[in-house]
Amino acid sequence: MQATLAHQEDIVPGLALPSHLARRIWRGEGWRGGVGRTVPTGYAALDAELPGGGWPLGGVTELLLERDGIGELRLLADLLGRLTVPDSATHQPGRHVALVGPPFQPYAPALASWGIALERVLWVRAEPRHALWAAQQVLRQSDVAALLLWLPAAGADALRRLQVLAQDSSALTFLLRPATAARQPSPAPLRILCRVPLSCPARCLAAGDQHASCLQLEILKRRGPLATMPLHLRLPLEQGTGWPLPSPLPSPLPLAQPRLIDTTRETRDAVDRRDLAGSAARSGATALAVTE
Amino acid sequence: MVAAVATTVITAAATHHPASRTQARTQAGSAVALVRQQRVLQVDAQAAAAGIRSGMSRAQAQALLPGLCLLSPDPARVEAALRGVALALLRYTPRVVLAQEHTILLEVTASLRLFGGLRALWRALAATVGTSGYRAALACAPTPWGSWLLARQRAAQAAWYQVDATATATATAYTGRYRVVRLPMLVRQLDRLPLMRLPAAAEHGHALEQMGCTTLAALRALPSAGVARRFGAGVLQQLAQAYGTAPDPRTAFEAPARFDARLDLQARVSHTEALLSAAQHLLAQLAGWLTARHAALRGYTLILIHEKARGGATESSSLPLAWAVPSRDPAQWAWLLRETLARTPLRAAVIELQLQADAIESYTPVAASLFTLPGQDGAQQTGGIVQLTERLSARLGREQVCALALQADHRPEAAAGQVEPTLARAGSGRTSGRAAPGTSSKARTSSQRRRTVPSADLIGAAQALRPFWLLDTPQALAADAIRTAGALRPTRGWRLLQGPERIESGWWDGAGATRDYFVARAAQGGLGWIYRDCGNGQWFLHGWFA
Repeated sequence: MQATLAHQEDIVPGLALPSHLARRIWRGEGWRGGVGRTVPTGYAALDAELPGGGWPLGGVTELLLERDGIGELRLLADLLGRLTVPDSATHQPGRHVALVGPPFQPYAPALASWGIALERVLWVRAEPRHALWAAQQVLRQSDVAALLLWLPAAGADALRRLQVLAQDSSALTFLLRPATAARQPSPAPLRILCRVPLSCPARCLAAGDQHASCLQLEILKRRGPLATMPLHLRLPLEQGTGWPLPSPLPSPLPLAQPRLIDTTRETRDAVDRRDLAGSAARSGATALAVTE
Repeated sequence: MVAAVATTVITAAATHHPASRTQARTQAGSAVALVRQQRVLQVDAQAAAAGIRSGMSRAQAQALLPGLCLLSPDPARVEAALRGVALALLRYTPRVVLAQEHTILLEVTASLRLFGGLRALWRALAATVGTSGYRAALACAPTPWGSWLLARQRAAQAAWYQVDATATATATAYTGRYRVVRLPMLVRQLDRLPLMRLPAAAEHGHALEQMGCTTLAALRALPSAGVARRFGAGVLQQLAQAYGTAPDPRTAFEAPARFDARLDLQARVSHTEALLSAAQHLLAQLAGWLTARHAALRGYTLILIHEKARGGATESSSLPLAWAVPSRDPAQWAWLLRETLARTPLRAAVIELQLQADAIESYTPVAASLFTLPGQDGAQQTGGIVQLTERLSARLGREQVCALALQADHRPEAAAGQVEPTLARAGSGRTSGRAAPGTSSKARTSSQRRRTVPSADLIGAAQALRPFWLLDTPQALAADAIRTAGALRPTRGWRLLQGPERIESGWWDGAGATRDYFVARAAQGGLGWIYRDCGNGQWFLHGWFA
């Protein structure tokens, strides 16, 4: 597969698109910025990998977890703290965060120690059949800053409905599902597979690091080129240890220019390519974007 | 200028007949006609389709439609129905007058701006009367008698309302307006109305008509001294009031001191949607009553009277509803009722509804600010969140939606509290919980009040390493094969990273715990929070550092 997005001028020499068309066409080289509003994740290494430099607003972010409790909340805790606590510098009032259908009890002392304003955390215990409905209600509310939705078995129509709702919502929408759902196609523009690394390049596992654990993030789908290497994040056990976090690894991809995609990847990535092609097609760049 | 809207309440709507109580519970779906003195008074749409018209004889109507259900009007129930509608209309203006012949007059001059102009108010009035289960002929004029006359004319010309045959005959095609704002326009409209619309003139039978005087304009043209001598001063007085040349004081309808509304259902109802639409009639009345009392509501109880079991006593069941912030929005109440009804199975078919207003509080309207300041929209934000939590808890259950809080306890399972989201708002100052419908909720509310403290005071206590996920009940881990007394050995499959943290507390309330907590890495990955019970040495998993 060859992505030839940047060489559009080569295909049709001298073609200058009207600005309203140019905005709608998704180009490979511009993926780091200008893909809509984002909110920084708090982890510089992750920001560098995400289109727009953060979690996207107006779309579902799917976190596919190898197991529950491997670090998904530590990944988001810094974000939740920033969203819930009023910011005196920008006069931004604290906003609410909703957790719908979590597998365990969100433990208040831990949330408080991460600086999350507890009174703005809404914990909704919902059975799976009611969880989607509850998420709809939350997303329609303009005061909610983020929704974390656990939906272990979500059908394709549920995912599509959620994505449509998230597009109109002002809230960050995170959908947390088991890693087995990675094979299922999804309309979410950002899908990240989270797993515990077997070996950690930062040696935090080997050294028996007592203050952090590593999380391996594999970006299955994003509005940008395929991520070729998984990302290792060192997540501290409590806020303040080694803060701000040193980036354990340099950004694995020199992504300044479009490049040939490595064809010697694992078979699992066949799914991802389809997804990428699909998302490119949805962005209106069918003719120019992808040639197999 | 005084604007008035006359609402003629028609009792022939298919859903509710203020007819005699014993006859009223008919089989649903059959055609209905109101009969007085062997003459048909009103018919519903189904009977009208069969060709039955008002003014027909009883035998004629029954010949046309053998299955026709004949009801006799009950003046007391008609009066009660009218009062119910008047109560619902108190939402729009405090000056509501019950006038002659099923007509309600509203003075709306002061309400126009609040409700967004005459057209918007007009639509709202029609919707409210419709919600109450009746149909209305609306008219508006600068004088009470003027609007009354226009509304009666409109009702007489409406296809669904024919009170008597003579009215239909005299209803010469009036093609004027029913929404009149200026007095000169009203004069032009009234001049074209048939004379028999004026009650004082109709008292004299056809005497005036036989004089060649068929419209109000003709009556006005007659010399007033002669008319007064022959027909009395009443006719001229009413005429002058209609044309706005004489004062017309009225006594306003007053809301009862206590709200007590009931509704006889016409048929046995066992369907939730039908029950809901019937309950909305009562809720509309409640909203009007609250507006008149300057009050708002935090809860109501809907009492369902069930059909009698064979020979048994009447059974009833009650549905209590409560919410956090006082409200007077019937749409919200209906929404909550829909969710509650959807979760509650009906014991038997319902024949009567009663509505009790439980928690009445004074109403504080939301002050809108001219400019949106960043610090000020906090109040609106929390308002939205409160509505969100009301919605969620209405469907999922009150216990299922909560905010988090800290509690002053060292035992991990007791250190986290769950509070109702509305209580968690800092600075709200509300100490009372929601009106607890069940005992479990009551118990929970009292336990919340016991020890929940502001989060800022407990941040220090929460500084120790705590996991994001806490298991509701600690999960016992496989017993260690080699258990050496006194030595801490991790259980199989776990590698201890940090600890121990000794937590020993709770000896005073019977749930004492002495535990050594560790941060441990699971064999399959992930960091767990495990503890060893110092009493029996068994290991438990209590949380995950998610």
